[in-house]
Amino acid sequence: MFSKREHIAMSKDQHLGELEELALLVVVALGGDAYGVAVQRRLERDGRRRIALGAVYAALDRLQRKGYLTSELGEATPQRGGRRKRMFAATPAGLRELKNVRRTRERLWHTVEAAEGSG
Amino acid sequence: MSRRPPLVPRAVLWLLVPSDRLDEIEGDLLELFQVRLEESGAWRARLRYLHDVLSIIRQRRRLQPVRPMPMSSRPSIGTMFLNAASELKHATRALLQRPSYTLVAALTLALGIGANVAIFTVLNGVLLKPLSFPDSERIVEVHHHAPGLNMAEMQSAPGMVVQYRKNARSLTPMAGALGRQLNLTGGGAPERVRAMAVTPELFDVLATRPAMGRAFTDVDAQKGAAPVVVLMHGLWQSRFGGDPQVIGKTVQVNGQSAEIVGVMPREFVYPDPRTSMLVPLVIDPTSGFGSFGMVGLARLGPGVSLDSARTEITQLQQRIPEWFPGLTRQVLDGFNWSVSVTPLRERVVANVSSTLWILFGTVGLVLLIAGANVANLFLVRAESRQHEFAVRAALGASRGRIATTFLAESLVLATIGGAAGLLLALGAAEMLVAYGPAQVPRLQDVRIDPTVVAFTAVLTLMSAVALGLLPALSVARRPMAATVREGSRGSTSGRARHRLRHLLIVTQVAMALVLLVGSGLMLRSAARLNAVDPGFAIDGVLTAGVSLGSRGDRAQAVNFYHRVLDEVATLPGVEAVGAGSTLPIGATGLTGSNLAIKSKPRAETEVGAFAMYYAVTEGYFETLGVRLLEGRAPAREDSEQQRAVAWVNQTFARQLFDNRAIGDAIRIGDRWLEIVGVVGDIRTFGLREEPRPMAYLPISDTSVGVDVMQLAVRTNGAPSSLATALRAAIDRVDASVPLTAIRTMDDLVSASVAQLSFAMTLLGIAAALSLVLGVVGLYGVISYIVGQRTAEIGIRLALGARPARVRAMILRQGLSVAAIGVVVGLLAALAVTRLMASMLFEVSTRDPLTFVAVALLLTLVSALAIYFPARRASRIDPVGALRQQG
Repeated sequence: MFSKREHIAMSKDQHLGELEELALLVVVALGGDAYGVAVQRRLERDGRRRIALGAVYAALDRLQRKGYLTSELGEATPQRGGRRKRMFAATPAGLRELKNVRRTRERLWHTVEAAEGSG
Repeated sequence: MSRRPPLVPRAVLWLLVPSDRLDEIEGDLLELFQVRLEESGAWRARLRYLHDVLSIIRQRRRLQPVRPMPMSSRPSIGTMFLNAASELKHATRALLQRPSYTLVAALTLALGIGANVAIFTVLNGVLLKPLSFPDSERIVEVHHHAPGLNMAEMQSAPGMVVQYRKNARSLTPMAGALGRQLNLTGGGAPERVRAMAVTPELFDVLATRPAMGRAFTDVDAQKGAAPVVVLMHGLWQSRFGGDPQVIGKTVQVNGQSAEIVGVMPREFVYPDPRTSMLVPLVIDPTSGFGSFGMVGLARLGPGVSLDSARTEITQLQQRIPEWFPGLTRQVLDGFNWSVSVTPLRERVVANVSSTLWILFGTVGLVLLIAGANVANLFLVRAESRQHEFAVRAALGASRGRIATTFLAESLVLATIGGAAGLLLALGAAEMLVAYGPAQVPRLQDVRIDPTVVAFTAVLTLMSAVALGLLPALSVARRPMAATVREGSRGSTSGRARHRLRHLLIVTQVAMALVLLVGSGLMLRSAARLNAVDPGFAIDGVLTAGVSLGSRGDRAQAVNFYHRVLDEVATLPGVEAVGAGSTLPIGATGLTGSNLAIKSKPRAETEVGAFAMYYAVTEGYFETLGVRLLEGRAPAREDSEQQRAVAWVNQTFARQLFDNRAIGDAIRIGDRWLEIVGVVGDIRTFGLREEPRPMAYLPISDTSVGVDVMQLAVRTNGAPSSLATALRAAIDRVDASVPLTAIRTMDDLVSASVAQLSFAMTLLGIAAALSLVLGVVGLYGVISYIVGQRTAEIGIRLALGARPARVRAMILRQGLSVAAIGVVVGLLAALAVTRLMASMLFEVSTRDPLTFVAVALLLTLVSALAIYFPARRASRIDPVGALRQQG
């Protein structure tokens, strides 16, 4: 479909930033219940850091643009004053990318441990 | 603490976040708020809420939904604002990149807007603004009419003012005022000043008291009271140097010592800026009716409406026979007597009102023509950017966005034009005030004030919207995709494309025609006016006022004037000299009344013949070149011996003596005066008026006043060079007598038609402007159309059409559009010129000669404007044209 050059170019833009990686993980972890509030709460709790809602949105939207997430409007609840919530779900591409990232990290950690071990 | 999220951050959210994401974001925020409320309390919750909102606002640009949504989703207000700002920025940049286009458009707009603002400044100052007195809308003038006496306007009389004061409950206070010219001596050179004699109530009617000293009291206004004066600010400065101790000082008024009791505030003007002094007006309540010519000013009582005042005053007229036994119901009906109560402002501006409105309409037309030209420029630009817009539309820009681009450009252009126009108007208004005819009232109130600026802003905005919408309408109607494919070819759709342009041309031509017709009618009026025989010679005559004042008795006055005549006759270059209490084209110093004619006795109740009369010396008619038709001219012996004689003019002789005046007699005062001569008619009331019956008396006759006489001197040199010698001559007779208003007869006559010629000049300028603009516009449009049709024309030529045929075709098509414009213009002119009727003289508003001439002129000029592009079309190189398209 795409020429080799374009493929590499696309890949360049598809890397995950740190917050994006965490957000994507959280979305996967939340399963079917991933929406803005839930992602923010989980990130704050498990990530042990203050994250503003705007940053969360930005990350989720970037992930969506890169094709790693899809979203759709879900049900409304009274706690939201009857407003609907936007639900996110990881795409196969997103899952693949997560696995790539994880493998990369493990490889690097491996190198570090090896260096420490020998040092 | 409330259980709802804080409102202010929410409101900001509403403004700045795209509306399609707003709902879910608000939902998230609300949920979080509730949770935090329970966990950490209200303060924490609100703080985090604020923090979150800020973060969202920071990120809002990234919050565009991924799936391409139709751009018709409404952007938030804040986004619209930002869009507008960026459009304006782009528009400015785009305009700067095309300096010649911007310059031409902005200049054209500046001219159109500037002309309108200039006229509006005058209109506002003269007609629209209330007078500068407190609560001025409640000041009214009471004036009377007697068309049956040939006196449509008589103002008031002392007797009437006294009765109104007693009986009119709706008008309090009421004052009387009379214009006077007085000699001032003492404290400076002898000076003749314009003054108003006013009753003390005037200060209450105008609700203005002197800034220094006091106003007149009832004591001052009694017969035999010590003379006092109140100075206007200007006279205080010019003659008394602004002396702060001027109150209590004395000045000689007409030879009598008068005390200065007050000085009016600087802004106070009544009735015009040339009046420099107020003196008390004595009205003797026992002395009966008095003569007309007094101004009756009053203020509407508290809570009284103009209509109820009118009703009351009209009803009071029924009581006139009760107040003045000589004026019975029958007599009044014979006069066609009526009364009006008119707001003062209307009275002041009455004679210029229609002229100013006509001028306003005229410049409005010029603005429309200029606007049409700029609109054409806009259309050209819009069409050249078709491609760009089509691409933008394909990429998702809405029609609204594209229209905004046009509007932004037109707004920037209109603002530049409007600002420049305001500056132009500043200068133009000053010129209008400086060179405008003196009869225009309230020129001192004409200036650029907030109303004028607001008017400019509105005009600019309207121009921007009109100009911006025009191309937006024409571009938006065509499907975008077709435009991208189309390129610039296509001649069948060409006709439709150019329809808007053709409409603009028709409008321009029509309006130019209306303006030209108006100008033409005025030109013919002026020519007619010029052709009127004034009845006297205009060249070579110098005039001056000699005001002896009221000292001495009549015999001494007669002696004085005779000595003046002798003295002036000895000056070098003087061919003839004479004096009279009125000059032709002056209409001051006249008296009018009903005269009895000896050969036509009438019953007591009949109204007699009405004529006006004034005093003349020997030499008056000769100096002025008035023809002696019958009998003899005035001689010195007539006044030396106080003969009971009189002269009449041709109209009098014809109307009232059946052309047999000599030997008959008229009764003026208590004497019968024998008619000893008939002279030609003099147009005393201006060239436009029909001559009226006039009689002339010797200066010894006490029925006429000789306080002021107008000297007329015929010289074989330039009249103005005689001025100094004249003054010296008067000095030799009596050094304390001021000489005033030294003017040549030529100047006097010009001044009398000044208002008309001023209006004519302005109209002429507007018509010329419109012609130039229209021609330029026509040329531009036809050139453009020829350019668009280059390919088609090239094909025709290549297929063997003769260049002359091509030229003829373009000419024909262009002229047919212009012809429609001419026809529309003629129809419009027929309707509109009716409004000008009051300004014309002996020319019908439908004068066929003018209409036909203008139509021909415009057609010819249009043909010329079309000819050059047509010629260019015939010279198109077919090969080059076709290659261009390929």
